[in-house]
Amino acid sequence: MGKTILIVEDEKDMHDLYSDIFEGTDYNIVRAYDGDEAFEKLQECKPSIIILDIILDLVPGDTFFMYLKSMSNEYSGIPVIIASSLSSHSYRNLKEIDPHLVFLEKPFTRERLLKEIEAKLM
Amino acid sequence: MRFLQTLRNILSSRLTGFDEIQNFLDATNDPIFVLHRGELIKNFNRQVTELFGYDKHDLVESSILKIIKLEYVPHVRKAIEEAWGCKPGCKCPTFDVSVITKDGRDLICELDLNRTEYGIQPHFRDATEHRKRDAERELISNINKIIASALDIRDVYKAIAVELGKRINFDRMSIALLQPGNNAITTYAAVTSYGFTELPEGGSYPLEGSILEKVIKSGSPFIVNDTSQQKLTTDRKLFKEGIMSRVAYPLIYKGQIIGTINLGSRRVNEFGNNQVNLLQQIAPQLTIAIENSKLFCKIKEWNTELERIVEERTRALNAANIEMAKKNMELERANEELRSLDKMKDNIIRDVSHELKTPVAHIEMAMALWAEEVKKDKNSREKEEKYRRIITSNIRKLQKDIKGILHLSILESGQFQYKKEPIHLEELVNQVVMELLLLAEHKGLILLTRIPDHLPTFKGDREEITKVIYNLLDNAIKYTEKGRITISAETKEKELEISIEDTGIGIGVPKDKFYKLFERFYQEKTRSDGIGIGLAICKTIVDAHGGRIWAESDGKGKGTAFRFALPYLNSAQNEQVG
Repeated sequence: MGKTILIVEDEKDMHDLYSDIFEGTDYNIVRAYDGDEAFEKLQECKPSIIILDIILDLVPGDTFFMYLKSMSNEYSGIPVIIASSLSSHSYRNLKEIDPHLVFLEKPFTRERLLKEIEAKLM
Repeated sequence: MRFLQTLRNILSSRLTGFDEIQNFLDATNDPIFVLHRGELIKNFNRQVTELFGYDKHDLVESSILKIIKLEYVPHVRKAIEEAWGCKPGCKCPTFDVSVITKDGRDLICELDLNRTEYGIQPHFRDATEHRKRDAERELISNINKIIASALDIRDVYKAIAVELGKRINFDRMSIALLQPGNNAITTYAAVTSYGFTELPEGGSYPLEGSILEKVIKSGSPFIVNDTSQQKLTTDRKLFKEGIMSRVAYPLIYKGQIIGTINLGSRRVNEFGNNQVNLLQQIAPQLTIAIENSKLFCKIKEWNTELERIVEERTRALNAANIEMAKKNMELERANEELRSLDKMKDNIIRDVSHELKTPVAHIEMAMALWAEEVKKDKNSREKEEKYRRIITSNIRKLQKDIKGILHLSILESGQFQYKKEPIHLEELVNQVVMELLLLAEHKGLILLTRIPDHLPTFKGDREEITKVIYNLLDNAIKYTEKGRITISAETKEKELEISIEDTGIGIGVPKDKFYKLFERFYQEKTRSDGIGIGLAICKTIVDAHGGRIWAESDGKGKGTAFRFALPYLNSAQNEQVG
């Protein structure tokens, strides 16, 4: 059984693209459409890594990230890759909370994403 | 001095007979003694007898110290000793002594000790008159002091009454001043020894029949020796309260009689030259004090007025300050709004660029994955369809957003010319419904139109109004998963109200934030139509037509109603347009 990736993304098209990206890999994909749903899924699937969009309905990605990192349980240690079409410059403050945070600007290639995930899970 | 000279002349003519000297001594007005040895009296003139009451046998060969009051004795003894030490013709300093008269009274006298060849000649001068003058001087000086120091004229009057009372007898003092117009009098400071007075302080009475009238007519002081004769109106009044005689002295300022100082006594014939002279001495100062007081009152009035003005100005200034503070607060609020607008602008740029970049990213990633599939020769129909769909829908989204931005920027540029053509709403709604009917049916939604017949015509830009209805209906379909969408119109007073109601997801923001839905780039994520520009376009168009647009919803999941109202033309205008 492979490791679980929680993908938090509001667009169905993007989720479809992620499915294709991870097709043929060992990873289990869990979809969440906003931050609120992501918290529920977090407890259900206990992911090894989270891929997080910023612009989300209800609880946006940056809020979710800050909340996650402030938690005192094991969830706060889960590595996060932020994947957004926003420039990483606007969110450099998130890097201060977690220096290991990876910021991927959309569009990115399949290779790039898989490489980042591997690096995090090593 | 003349006396001394005469005395010297007599002595120089070597007259030796005491009789001659006696005659000379008797010819002077003052009591004079001759001491022939020590303090012993050799002789004295008849004035000694007249003033002090002593006869020759009372005093001759007695010590002069016998008639000097005890407390003055040492001084007199010493002075006599010193006088004996002087050469004849020498005059010793004058000093005051108190003489005891034969009937036991004390009489204050000035004493000169003249050294002559016959011995010492003590020369007494009755100082009572001097004392009186001194006392008067003191009185006037006191009054002047009071006048100079008192700010309230009433204090001056009262102090004058007290000071005058030390010198002369009276039972009533008042100051009577002419009122402006010169036919009435105001009484001030009616000071009495008996309390009640018919002419009290502050009282006003006619000039006619008053003592002041007499003074003005004669230009000099006026004395009433017996008020029982009741020659004056005021005599009658004062007689009732027991005043038997009166004197009034004019107070003259700049050649004009401004009033009188009046004294009254319970005795007849109380007032004469003595009192008039005293009043004469204080009248000028009193007049000045009265005028000063008038001036002071005026200054006080001015001050009060000035204070009132200052207070008024201060109040105005305070009001201005408050106004300024308000303006500052408004400015601060405006600044705050600007800052928040600035932040909003940043957010808008961020969000808009995100919304524009996202479909591009999706297209790019879909194409990359598709290309990979092709390369690996794993291309399935299913995947190809999926990528094509992703790419097409994202391109459409981009097109729509870009079109929206362009449309809004044209509408907002101020260059856009709205047409003014008569619009028949029913026609226009039907056209939009036809365009979107398929889309609604595809989602299984019921689309109802309730447009009454004979709606009033209104003037506007048909194309733009069509866009408004299209946008609202398109949104309704987009955010409704099941149920129905109703388009209705209603004629209100002066307005035609068009509603698009759905049974969809509703609006998640609080009601007081509904207006924000119509702001450019405002995104309520759940009902975002891309960059959040469709409703802003609707509002711009409706506003340009003099109408209003608003949203109604009971909350999330409870459906939404978008309504807009446009002013319609009355029948006369309809004819013109038609």
